[in-house]
Amino acid sequence: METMIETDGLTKSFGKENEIVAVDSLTLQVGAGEIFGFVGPNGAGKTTTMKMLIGLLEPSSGSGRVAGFDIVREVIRIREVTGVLPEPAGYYDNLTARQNLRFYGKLYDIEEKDREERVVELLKLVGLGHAIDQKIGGFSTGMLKRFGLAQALINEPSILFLDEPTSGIDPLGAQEMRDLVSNLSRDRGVTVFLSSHSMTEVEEICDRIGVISKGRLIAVGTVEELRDMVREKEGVSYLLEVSGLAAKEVALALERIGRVHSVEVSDGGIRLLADKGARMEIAEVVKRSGGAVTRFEGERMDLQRVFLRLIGA
Amino acid sequence: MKQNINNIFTIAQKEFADNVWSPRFAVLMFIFLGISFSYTYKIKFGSSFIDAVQTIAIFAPAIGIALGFDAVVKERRRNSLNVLLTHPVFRDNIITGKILGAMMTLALVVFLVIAVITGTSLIISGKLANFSELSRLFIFGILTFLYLLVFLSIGIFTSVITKSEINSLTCGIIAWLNLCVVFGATVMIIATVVTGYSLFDMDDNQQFRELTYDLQKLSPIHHYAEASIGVSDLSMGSIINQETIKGVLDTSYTLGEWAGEFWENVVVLAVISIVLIILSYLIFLRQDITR
Repeated sequence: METMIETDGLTKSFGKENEIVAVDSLTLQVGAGEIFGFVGPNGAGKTTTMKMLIGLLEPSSGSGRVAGFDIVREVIRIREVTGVLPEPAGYYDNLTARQNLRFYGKLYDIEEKDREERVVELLKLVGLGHAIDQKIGGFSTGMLKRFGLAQALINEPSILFLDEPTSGIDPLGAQEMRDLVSNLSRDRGVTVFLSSHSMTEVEEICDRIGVISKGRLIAVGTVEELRDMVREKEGVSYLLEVSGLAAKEVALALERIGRVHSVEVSDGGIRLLADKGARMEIAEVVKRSGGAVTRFEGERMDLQRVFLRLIGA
Repeated sequence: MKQNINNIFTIAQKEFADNVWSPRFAVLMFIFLGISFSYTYKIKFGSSFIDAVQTIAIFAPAIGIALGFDAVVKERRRNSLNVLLTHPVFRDNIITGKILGAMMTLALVVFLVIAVITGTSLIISGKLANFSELSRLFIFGILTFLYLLVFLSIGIFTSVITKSEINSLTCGIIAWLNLCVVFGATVMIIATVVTGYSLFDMDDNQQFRELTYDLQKLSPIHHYAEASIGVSDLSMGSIINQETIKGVLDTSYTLGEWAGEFWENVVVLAVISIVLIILSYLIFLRQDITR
């Protein structure tokens, strides 16, 4: 798969003596057509990374390429092939959606006739067909986000950078926005670099996720790979129900297994934390003790919990 | 390069349209053109042309400030610079486009003012202006443009260095009041304090007059007043020193003679604007405007 975004030791420091490190030695690759989620707590370095990738900030050290163009020397070439929905984003309140989009379109070398057609087509695509000639000043937050996506698409980009695309909009609007982004990737092969606080959003639409904390990229992978990382590190939580044997006796037997870290007996059964892969051994010990396993479920961690574990919260 | 020029003109065109269609501009123009008409019309009743030029010299700079004070700060505050910079636009394209757009609007303002003054003069005298008079009016228009450009540059400069429109406007209004409205009175107070003489020491106020005249050179209104009608100041409460050549509209001297006498004033007006624009450029290019 062709690499569309790549960084190598990308670092950005602020302050007189570069004492504030916003992004620290970031190395990652994003392939063509991929939706890459970039998550992290506030101040983790997500927006700074995005600004460096689109040439709004110059890195302190390290390098990066977007669509094959250097992020320091070929900034304008990058902007010609990328679309960006920044956060916060503002538009011209006194102009209509059509006039705003026409203005952004004029910044590219697009024939007037094509530009006019594209303006209408994009506004319809993002669900603003009914508001083409309405002034942007009267738009709701959701409409502004949709408009932001339209302006990011005006140059038919091969890469989209979206910073918090659904923040501040209602659940239905957010879902529609997510569908739009997914469709763009699926139908047009657009690579998406998505920075978000919404784990639901990232889990739902992203192919891979990068977790950044205190400027450092601490994990990259699919949702399942991230879960496995946490399980490898901290073990898996299981809920166990046994028949034919008292729960306390089972707990005593399980505590003797080296790969089991903790056992807790409750009304609902036995809760235990064990290494990933210890499942068979646990079942065997229960059987040897004279019990029968009636329920044995591994906890399914949602991305929110995976994220919190990864960042050590 | 072609794309850069295209982007500059796209931004300038938008800036021009924003200015011209804004209610603020319409109100200011309506008031100012009304004042220009009435002062020019008063010539019929014995008033001099100096009154009409004084109206321009004192009040028109407010239009220059109004066109520039929110050029950059407004975009920065409403986060539209954030979006604009994600498109293939250099920062210098943005500020160049904005300055160019404001200058285009200013040229329209000057054209309308000259048109009102000329039209009113035609109504009063019933005579059509000849080529010589029209060419002098054209130069008067250029002088007025350069003068107002100083205040537009002040407006743009304050819009780059301040963090809100209200701060920028306040700075612009303070500059306008001090440089155009109360400048003459301020200069007289300073000259009185420094020399110990005042305007009313009729027998021995040469030192006072010399210092006043030197201090007047610090304001753009002096350079505009000298080059356009040959007086040293047009701000309120000022003392006036009348030159032999009564400015560009004095037809008893050739334009060559006028240029020989007043070229320094024209250069000073142009240089003030250039310096302010360069400073605005440098500061804007170094700012982190994406925060």
